[in-house]
Amino acid sequence: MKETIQRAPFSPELLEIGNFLKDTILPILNQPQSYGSIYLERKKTKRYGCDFKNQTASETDSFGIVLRLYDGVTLHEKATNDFDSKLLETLAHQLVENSKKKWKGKIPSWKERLTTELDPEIRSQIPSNPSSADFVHFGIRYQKDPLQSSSKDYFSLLEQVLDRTKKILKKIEWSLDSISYATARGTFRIEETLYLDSEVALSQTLYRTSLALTLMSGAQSVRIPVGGLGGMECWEISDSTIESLLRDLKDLTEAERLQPGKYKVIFSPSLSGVLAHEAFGHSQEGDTCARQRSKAWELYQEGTLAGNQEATILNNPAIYQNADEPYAAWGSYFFDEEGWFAQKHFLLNKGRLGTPMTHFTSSEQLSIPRTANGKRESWSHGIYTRQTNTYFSEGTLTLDELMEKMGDGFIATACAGGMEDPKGMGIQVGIGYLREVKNGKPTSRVFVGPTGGFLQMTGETTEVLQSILGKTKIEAHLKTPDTASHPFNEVGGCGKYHKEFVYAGCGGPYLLLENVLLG
Amino acid sequence: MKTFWNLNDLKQALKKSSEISYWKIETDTIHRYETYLMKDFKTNEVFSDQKREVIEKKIRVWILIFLNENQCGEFSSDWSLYKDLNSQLENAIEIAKNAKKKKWIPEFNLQKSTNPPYSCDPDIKSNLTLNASAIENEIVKKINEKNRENFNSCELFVSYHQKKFIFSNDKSFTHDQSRIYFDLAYSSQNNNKSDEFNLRRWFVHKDQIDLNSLFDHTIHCAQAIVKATLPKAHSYPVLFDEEVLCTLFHDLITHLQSSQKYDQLPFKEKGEFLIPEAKGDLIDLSIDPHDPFGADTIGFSQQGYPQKPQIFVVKNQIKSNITAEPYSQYLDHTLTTTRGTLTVSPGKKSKAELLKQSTSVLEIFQLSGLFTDAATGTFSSEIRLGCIHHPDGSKQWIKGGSISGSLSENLTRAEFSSETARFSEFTSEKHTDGGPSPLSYNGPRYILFNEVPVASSL
Repeated sequence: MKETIQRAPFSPELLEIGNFLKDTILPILNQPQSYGSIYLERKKTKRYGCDFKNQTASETDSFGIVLRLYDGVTLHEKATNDFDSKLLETLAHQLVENSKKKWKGKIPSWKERLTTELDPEIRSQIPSNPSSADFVHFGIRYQKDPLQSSSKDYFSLLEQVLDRTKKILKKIEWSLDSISYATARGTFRIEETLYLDSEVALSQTLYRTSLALTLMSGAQSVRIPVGGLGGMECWEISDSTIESLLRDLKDLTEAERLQPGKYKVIFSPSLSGVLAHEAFGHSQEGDTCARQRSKAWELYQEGTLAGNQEATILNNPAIYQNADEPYAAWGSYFFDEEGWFAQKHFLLNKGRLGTPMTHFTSSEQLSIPRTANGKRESWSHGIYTRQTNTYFSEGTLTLDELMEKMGDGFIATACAGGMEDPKGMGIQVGIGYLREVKNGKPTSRVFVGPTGGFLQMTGETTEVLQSILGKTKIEAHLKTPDTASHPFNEVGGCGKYHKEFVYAGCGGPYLLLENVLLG
Repeated sequence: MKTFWNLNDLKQALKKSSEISYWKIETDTIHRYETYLMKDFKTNEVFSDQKREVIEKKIRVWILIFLNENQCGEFSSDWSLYKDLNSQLENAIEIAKNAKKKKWIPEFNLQKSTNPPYSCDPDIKSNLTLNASAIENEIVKKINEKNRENFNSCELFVSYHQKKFIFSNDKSFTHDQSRIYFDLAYSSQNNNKSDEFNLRRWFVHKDQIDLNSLFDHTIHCAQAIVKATLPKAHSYPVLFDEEVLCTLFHDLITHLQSSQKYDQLPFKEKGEFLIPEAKGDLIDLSIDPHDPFGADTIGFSQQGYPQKPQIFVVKNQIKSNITAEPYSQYLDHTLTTTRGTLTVSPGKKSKAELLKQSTSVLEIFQLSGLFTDAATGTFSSEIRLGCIHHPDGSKQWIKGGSISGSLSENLTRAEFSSETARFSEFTSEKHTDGGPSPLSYNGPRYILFNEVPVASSL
């Protein structure tokens, strides 16, 4: 039987607003030597939580319009969630009055937008010969329809996760009293966006679905997030994952403090993703380069090697199957918030830097090609060049082979944040705890930081990227050839300039590094 | 686009519902001006990359439903004027019935506030755009006056927020606030090495901004950072400033919150010592919701409980736990102030005296990313810029490596400076409901921790 593809639709009431904006407001913004455009966003989030005592629920609804006019120097924006037609017309006229009208560019047509290589998931949703008059919609695929679940269903699923945790506790011979706090939190968000300019009218609907289990024993805690873009299939968390989390927590209660120093460490996909994100993710953001706040721009222009042959980092918003999971990676979309189609982009290829990621104005300022990286925290925030899914390319080894290659060292699986230093080329990757590996096999010894908290990996970015000794394949636990096309990308978030929080995926293979400075 | 209802309709619908026991409406009106200044690559001219104006109105409703003798259900959500009122009401009731927790009864006991505390710059309230433009013009003037060739970028966000809380017993209060965000980045070059320093600060009143000092400090640090070398791996006495103290003290007081006791999270009870076996400067700590132009200055809590200055720790001993509803009822604890500026008493020694040690002292100018764990009371970060003060009076700029510490261990012998400072931070929403409370600190400008391990390649 032919499988029916279910895709997230666009709300009819938003399409109605879209028609009004296209017919009434956009013509005001279509001025000579200017680039007028409109962005509409509705992000409706449902949050549910269960612990041993309480159930909690809340919803947020971020719904607003951004009227935009680029005049060749400045991008002027008026953003509001007041949909009064007179107000919108007034705001549009104010933008036109402020415009210096110095832009010499041309708004890209459908034909130009389609000259690039696009993922079949995008191509298949574009009608043949689209024109500026067409509203073209892109919907994320899903298996289990999240809109069919009631709040009772959501709570029931979370309670089941806690019940399974209690059962697995018995299996590992640990008592329920040892767990001082346990919480399962689930989120489902419908993200609907619309982008309009004189050449295109694009809409997309994404279902962002995630679940996180946090367990505490005294002050020690462990946490696992799962999720992606898709339906309720994203909430699935296996017994083996819960068991592994409980074993880590049990060992953490007897954790030793690590002596600061240099060690061999294997980073799990989530941590190798943080390394990629902080290394040549942030420093390869076009607006940071345009502000002359990134060393990467200089290194790119000089052609300087910034890592070894293993150092290949990609940014890719077009991951519609996350490793071997049935859903899309967390940082994916079909087009960015300035209507540019998602594409894979090499930030660093075997140690050599590519062009930075861009959004519209940074691409203009640096005179380099556009990439689909224009994102904002919400409609009420400014647009920046932001990362989507950032990850190291896969290698050829299994995890067992990589541990054997390491011999003695540590494996890091718990992510505890990270920080970039684009101009100074420093790097910081936070690690919750480390598990010891002896003779290529993990032991029961777990280590925390020198004073009992998180560990920090620090160093100079290019030196760290010269110290990669090996990488696993995508399906790191199997000897058979990879069937998945993209490495796993973890659920994550990202700030910029210490604010402007957006969702981002980060991942890759397991990564073996030597001389890792830990403190 | 047509609106379906107004605030009065909402109040009537909530009042009429036989299922809802208590409710609260929170309206939020925000007007913000933003400018993003940078420099043209070729002409060296300063220009605004983005200019934005934001007009935002939000309505958030919280409801509580009694389910049985022992349980209630709660739910909070944003409501849309562009969607039918009844469907939103039905959705809220359906979810609240399933979000079960131990029963409690809100008091909403708003006493008449004498005078609302100073939380808003009246000029920003009366004409946001004019005042924001005036600050922007001053900034551009300073950039042109001060080392323009090394200027990288500056962001300025000025906003006015008006919140109104309406409770089911017909009581209400309004909270006005102005916010100013300032971000400045300068770079510097030295022997083919280039680096930058980025300063970020929040203010409530425009008179709190001292542009000269902000520019001079940023330029000074940018010039220092290119001279910096890696520190030697060692355990140093470390001097932190108000930016770090604001975060660390806010982490520390989570252990005083009654909610921690109820949830079986790390907790310190009234009567206990905040820091066991403390031998250094003993901590006096209070929360002041009336601190003029503090980031968290407010007349009432979000549950309508009047906020007044309250002492929580005297000479290291906990005098009261920080308690909000429903935990006051669950644990039979007295309701206390929960919002306001975290105020810590200064020490006796000046910064110069704190730096006079028999060993080298590391002064932190900026950490790359301070990661703290409130549960364990630990912290760690890469060092973005620091200065080692040697006993012979010489100084060495350093960058790189990482520090880590434990509040319970480091505060045992800590010393506070006699100089004081305040620090404000309106954190990003980070996808939590309504966003976390702002951070506001007023206390010693510096703290000296002993024996802080620094990891380094040297």
